[in-house]
Amino acid sequence: MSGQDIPDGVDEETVTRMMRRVLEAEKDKLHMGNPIGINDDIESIIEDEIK
Amino acid sequence: MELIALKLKNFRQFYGEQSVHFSTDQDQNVTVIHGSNGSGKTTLLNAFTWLFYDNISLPKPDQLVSERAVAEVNSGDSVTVSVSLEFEHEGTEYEATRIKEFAKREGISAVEQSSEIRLEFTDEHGNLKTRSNPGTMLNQIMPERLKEIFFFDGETIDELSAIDGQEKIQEAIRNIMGLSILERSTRHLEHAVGKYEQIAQEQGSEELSNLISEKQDITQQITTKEDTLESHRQSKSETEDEVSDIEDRLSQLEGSRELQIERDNLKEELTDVDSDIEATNDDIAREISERGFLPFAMPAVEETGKMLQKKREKGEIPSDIKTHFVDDLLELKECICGRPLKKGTNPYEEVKGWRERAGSTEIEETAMSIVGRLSELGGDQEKLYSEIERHLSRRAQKADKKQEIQERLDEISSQLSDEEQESIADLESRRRDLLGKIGEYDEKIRNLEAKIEELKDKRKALEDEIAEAKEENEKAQLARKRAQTAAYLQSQISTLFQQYQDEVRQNVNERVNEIFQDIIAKNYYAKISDDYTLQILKDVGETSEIPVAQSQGERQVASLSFIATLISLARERYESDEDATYFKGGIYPMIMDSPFGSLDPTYQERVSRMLPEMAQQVVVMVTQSQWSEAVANEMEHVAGERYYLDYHDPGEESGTNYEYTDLVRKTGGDY
Repeated sequence: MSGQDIPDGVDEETVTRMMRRVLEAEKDKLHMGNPIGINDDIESIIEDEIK
Repeated sequence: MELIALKLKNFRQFYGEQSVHFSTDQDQNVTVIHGSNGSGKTTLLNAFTWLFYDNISLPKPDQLVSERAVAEVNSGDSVTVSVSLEFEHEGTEYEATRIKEFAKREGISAVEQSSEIRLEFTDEHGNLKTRSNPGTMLNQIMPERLKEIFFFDGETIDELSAIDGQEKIQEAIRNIMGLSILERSTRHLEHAVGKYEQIAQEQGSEELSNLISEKQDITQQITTKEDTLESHRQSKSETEDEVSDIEDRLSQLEGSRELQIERDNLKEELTDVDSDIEATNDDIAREISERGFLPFAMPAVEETGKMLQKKREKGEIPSDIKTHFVDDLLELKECICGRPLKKGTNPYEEVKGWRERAGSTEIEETAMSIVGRLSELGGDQEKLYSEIERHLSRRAQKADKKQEIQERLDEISSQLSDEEQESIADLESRRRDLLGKIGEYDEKIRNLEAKIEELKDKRKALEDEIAEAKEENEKAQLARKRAQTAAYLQSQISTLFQQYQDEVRQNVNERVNEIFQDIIAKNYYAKISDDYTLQILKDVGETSEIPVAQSQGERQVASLSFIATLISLARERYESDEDATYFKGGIYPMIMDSPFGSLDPTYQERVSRMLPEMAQQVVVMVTQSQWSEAVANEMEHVAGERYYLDYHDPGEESGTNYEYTDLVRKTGGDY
């Protein structure tokens, strides 16, 4: 899957929002050496935004 | 985070309830705590880490309870140990408390019965509330992995600058400056891409499944080759460093010094010559790009010119009658002689027939200008030839010069190899071997880069095929879209990470050096290398820099400068208007036990002058010997709060057989 182009059917606003949510999720678990559950958090964000 | 007050109860040698109120005055932002060795300075520092992380670095770490407090109760009774900290963070006031209950056994031994951590805060309505996740929250405010940055022992802080301090430095920079968030995001998004591709593969057609498999296989190959490439680059870099060391050594040995210096100069000259040759090649390319068409176009140009000239000679251009003149007559329906021109009549048709030999004004003007331009092109072609000849001549001269330099370099190498002094010959021989190895690495690197590029092109082609693959299965389509989106996010964040990492490294380097040079007396400078080593360097000649043999004091100053840099950059970001989720910055205090460590008096004075500027709030714990006159002169006027640790030796104190320390607020006079 090309990471270079914004995917069809996804708008810039959604991407910006997703990026912000992903970074917030990472920030919340930054203090953990091993951020348990972060993969699930990120997948939840993706599945919530891309339906 | 702004510290307000620390309260201790029966914590180690601090018997009963003791407290420190920190200075929150902007102009007098230092809190000084005086104490002799063994009076409890390090214990006080550990009170913070025990509160935040349930962790202390002291002898007998299990003996938390004040011996005196235990001695005063009966067997079976409980003694409470607690540390509380009032602080403000991002506009909210908090009180964090860690409490442990101990039950006395015999003598002064006690066992832990219970443990609790609480974090209370005042909400926007003034109500007191309790956080449900106090440990997590405290770790977010002051991450445990960075505790050595915020709570540090001045006598061991020089370890940051030591050879194995890189990991701590890298961790600190990445964490405080927001790089960790970006780096982690790219890794975790990679995982998401893999997961959704897997789903797409499972849900999709066989064709799509095969394409995805193939792509995954190529991705794996790319990863493996990139790892190998990185390894070769690293080895090459280490070998180049070794060559550089040998050349330095040769420049120091009497038998080889002159030749090595000449070699160094020639290598520089060779670099300039190569740059010239490259510039000349660019000039040639530009000439060809702008005027290279001329030799091919000239035959057609000349023929066109001849054709137009013939028409001029025949009088066909410019023509006697213009088309618009004929059109005007037909429109007016009257000839210049006065005859009416009615459609369908002979005069009308005759005048209309003039259009055949009339000329368009626009076309004729254009034709005339073309004739003019065509004759100029001949001159342009001449100019092209002469310019290219000039560049080629220059390039040939440079190539000759390059050959001359290379021949001399070979001669020097032979001379050094023949040198009677064995070590010089050995060094030169080793150098040649290493250059050979570098050549091998270069070839391997080139081959790998080409192969990786080829694989990436293949992968791109597969990605395009995958994107185009017709897929009717909705679940597969959705999974593919999610994978594409995750990949897009990953690439965006990865780009941001690379750009930001460079920016952070530059900012950190500039600031560390700024602070370091404000303190250090010698002409040294501090730098964080690419592998996150905190180096102290000095210049040798105009272009070289070498690490110095660092004293403990210099390492301490470098470490202090580094910590101050991170705290100040984080604060600047916090106070700026820039909005970035990954790095909002923050306000952090500096809490130091023995900040002057093993510094000599000059550096003690300079450090004490810089300390108040290093953070919004500074807490220092010092012995009497560290509170010299020079230090006192620098710090007294910025010390908003002062305390001393009043240690009671069991032998001297009546009524108790156990040591204890009181925290006494200083209200004036000398310590």
